Amino acid sequence: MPSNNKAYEIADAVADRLSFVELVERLARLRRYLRQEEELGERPHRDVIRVFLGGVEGLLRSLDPYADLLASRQPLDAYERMSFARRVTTLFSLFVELHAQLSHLRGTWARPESQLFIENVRHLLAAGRLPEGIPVVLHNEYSFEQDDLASGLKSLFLGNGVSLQLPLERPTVFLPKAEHENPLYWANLAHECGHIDRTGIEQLISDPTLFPAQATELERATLKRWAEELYCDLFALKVLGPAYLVAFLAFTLLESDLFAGEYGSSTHPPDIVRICMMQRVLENRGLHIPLQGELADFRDIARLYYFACESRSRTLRRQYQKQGESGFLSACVPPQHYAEMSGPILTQCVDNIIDRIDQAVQNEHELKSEDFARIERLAGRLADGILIGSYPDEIAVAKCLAEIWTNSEPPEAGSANYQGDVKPSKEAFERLKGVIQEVRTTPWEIINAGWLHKIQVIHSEAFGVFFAGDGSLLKKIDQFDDRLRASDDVLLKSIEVAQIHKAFERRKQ
Amino acid sequence: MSTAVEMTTDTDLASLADMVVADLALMRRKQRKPDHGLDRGIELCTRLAQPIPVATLAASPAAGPDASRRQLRADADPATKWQPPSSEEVHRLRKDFEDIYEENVEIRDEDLTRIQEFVVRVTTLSWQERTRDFQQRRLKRALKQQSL
Repeated sequence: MPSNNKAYEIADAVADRLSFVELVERLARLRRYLRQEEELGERPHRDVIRVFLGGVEGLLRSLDPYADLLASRQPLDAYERMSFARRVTTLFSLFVELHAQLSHLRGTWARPESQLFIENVRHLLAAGRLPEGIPVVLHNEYSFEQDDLASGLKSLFLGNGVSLQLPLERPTVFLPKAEHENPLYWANLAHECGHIDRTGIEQLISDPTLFPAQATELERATLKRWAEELYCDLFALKVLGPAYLVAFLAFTLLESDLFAGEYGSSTHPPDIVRICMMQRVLENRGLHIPLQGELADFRDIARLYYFACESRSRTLRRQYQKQGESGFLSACVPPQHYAEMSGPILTQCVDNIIDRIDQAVQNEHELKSEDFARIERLAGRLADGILIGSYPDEIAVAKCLAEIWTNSEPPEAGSANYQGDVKPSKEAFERLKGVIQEVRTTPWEIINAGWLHKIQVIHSEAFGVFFAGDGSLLKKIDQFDDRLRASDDVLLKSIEVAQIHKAFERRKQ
Repeated sequence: MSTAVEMTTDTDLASLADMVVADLALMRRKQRKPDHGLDRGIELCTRLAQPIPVATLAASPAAGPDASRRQLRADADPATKWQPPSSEEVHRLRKDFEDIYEENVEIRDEDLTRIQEFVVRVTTLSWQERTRDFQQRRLKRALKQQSL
C-alpha cells in the first residue's frame, strides 16, 4: 500500500512539472483556437489574429528557462521553487488577460458535443430537475459561469421602461473559448448546471438546521451563499465522480495565487474547503480511479492533483511572515484564513451539507465503486486511439462462448452444415448475437477515462518531451498539442457515438 | 544580451526577479554560461533603485512627489514589515552580478543561494501588489459581466 510519506516526498517535483504542463496546455489550446479562427477569417481578421498569436507565443517562449530548470536532476531549492510558482501565477494571469481580449475577434460557436454533454448531465438527474436544451455559449472570460440570459436582459431593460416578450427563463452556461474542444474541462460546466437546479438548492438552504445555531447573522448570510457553491460541487461530483474534482483541481492549480486557494470571498468558500469536502465524499463512497506506475504513490487521479495544489500552496504561503518573526520563507497560514468565518462553524455546516446532499440531488443512477471497474480498460482503448462511445463486454462474450462450447454437439465432419468446431443451438446463437453487441458508455465514463488517459499517458509523454533532451521548446509544444488534439478528437467522437447508440436504444424501445 | 533587455522592458520588479532567479539556477546547474542573464541582473539593480512612477504616487496623497518607490511600498502595507533594500544593498547586489559574470571567477553555491534569497525577498511585496492588481481586474470584469 503506497504511503502518504512517499507521495509527499515526490509531490514537489511532480507539482512543478504538472503546473508547467497544465500552463503550457492552456496556452497551446488558446493558440489552437486562434489558428482555427485564422483559417476562417478574411485577411484583416487574420492580421489581428496574428497579433494574438504573437502574444501566446511570447508567453510560451518565456517558459523556456523553466523547462531547462525542471529538466535538471538537481531539485529546485526553496527560492527557485518560489520563483517558479510566482512565474506560473504571472503567466497564467497574463493568459487570462489575453483571453479576455478575444472579444475583438469574430468568434466561432460552441461545438455541438458540448451541448450533448450538458444534455447528458441533465439525463443523469431525476426528470424535471434541469430544463431541456441549456445553451452552451463560448466566453471571452477565462471562467466557467452560469447566467439566466432572459431574466437578466428583462431586468436591465425594464429598469429603463422597455418591456420584453421573452421566455420566463433562459439559463445558459458559459465556456471559455480556449477550452471549447476540451471535454475534460467541460466537467466544470456540471457545477454550473447545479446553479440551474433551483429546486435542489432551495431544498438545501431553506433547511434551518443546515447552519449551526451559534453562527452569527453575518456568518449565516455568508454560509447561505457558500452552501449554494458547495451544493453545486457535490451536484457535479455525483454526476461525474472524480473527473469533476480533477477538473476543479487542475483549474485551481494554476489559478491559486497570492492567497493560495485558502481565502474565501463573499460568494465562494475557499478552494481548500471545497476540495476537502469533495475528497471526503469520494472516499466515503469508494469512488476512485487508481494510478499505476511512477504515480502509484498518489493512489488516484484526484489525489495526484490535490498533492500538487497543496505543494504549490505551501510554496506561495511562504511569502507571508509570521507575526514577530523576521525570517523569510517561514511557512505560515495567512491572516483571516477563512474571511470572517469561524472554522468549527464552517466545518459543521459542511458536515450538514454532506449529510443532506443525497436528498437534495436526486440522480437517476447513483455512482458506485463497481461502476468504475471498466474505466481503466476504457483508458487503455483511448491510448490505442480507439473510440470509447461503446465498449465490448468481453467477459459476457467469453462466458457465452464457453457455454456454447460446453453445451453444443460437435457437427459431423464433412457435412453440408459444417461451419466450425461446434454447432450452437438457435437460442445460444441469439444470446451470442446479443452479447457481442457493444454496450453504450456514458459521458461520465468517457470523461473519467479521458482524465486517466491524460494523466497516465499524455502527461507521462509530455514530461519526457519537455524535461529531457534538447530542442526547441516551441517544437516540443507543437508535439504536445498534436497529442492533445488527437485525444480531444477521440473523446469528442466518443461522446457523439455514445449519443448515436442512445438514440438507437430509444428507437428499439 | 539585447534580447534580455527587450524582454525586461515592460516587466515588473517581481517578474524580473523571478527570471533572474531562474538564470542563476541554470547557471548553478551548469546549463547556462555565466554571461547569460547579466543584463537582467543589472536591470534588476537599476529598477530596485528607481524612483516610483508618478501615476502610482498619485494614488497615495500621503506620499510627497519626492518619495522613493521603496519608501512608498514600505508605507503601503506596514503589516508585512517589508524592508526595502538600502542603496548599499543594491550596490552590493550589482557587484555580485558583476563578479558572477566576470570570467575566471569561481561561482560558489552559497553565493548563488544568498543572491537568490535576497532577490526573492526584496521583490515579494511587488509580487503581492501585482497579484492583487490582477485579482482586482478580474473581479471588475466579472462584475461588469454580471451587470449585463
